[in-house]
Amino acid sequence: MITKIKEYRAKQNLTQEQLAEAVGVRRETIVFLEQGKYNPSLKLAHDVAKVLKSTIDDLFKF
Amino acid sequence: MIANPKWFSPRKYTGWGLTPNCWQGWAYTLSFILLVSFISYLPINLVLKNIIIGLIVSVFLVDVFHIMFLLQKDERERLHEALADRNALLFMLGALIIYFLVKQIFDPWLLVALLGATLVKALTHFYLRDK
Repeated sequence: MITKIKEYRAKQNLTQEQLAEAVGVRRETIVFLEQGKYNPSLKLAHDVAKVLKSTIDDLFKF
Repeated sequence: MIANPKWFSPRKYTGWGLTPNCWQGWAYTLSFILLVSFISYLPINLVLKNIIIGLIVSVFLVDVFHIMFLLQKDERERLHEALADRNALLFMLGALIIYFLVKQIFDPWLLVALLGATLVKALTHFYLRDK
């Protein structure tokens, strides 16, 4: 899985901590997501996309 | 509950339980240790001393278990914890089975542990199915 979370996070000027807090997970989980090492649930993917003002399709590539 | 769950993180690499993650958590832990140590040196009746220490330890353990139950974990942490605990359980079961095959000693508490664990697993599945 390849993600563009880091890229979109930078566009929104958010730190990993801020994104984590916004979606209700730990910063480590955001790190795992950005590295493509964790497949999020649909809800988490949706929440991340919503915060980053993007879509799930844009953020996650399988 | 005495301690705040935010003062602690779940242990990952050093067994089960909690690790303080801020000064409040360390203060709470050290306070308990100092209190028990202080009481153990008091010149009072040994039976009374053991009762008091037992009560304090019980309160502390109840608090710790309560915190562990309330600790907020995100979906990834819950998944990783479940996988790690499953692997630990499988190792323990394997070690116990090998021990009893080698020693050929029947311990009824082993049966209690295995049946109890089976029951807990079944109840957990029932709970999750209807959740």
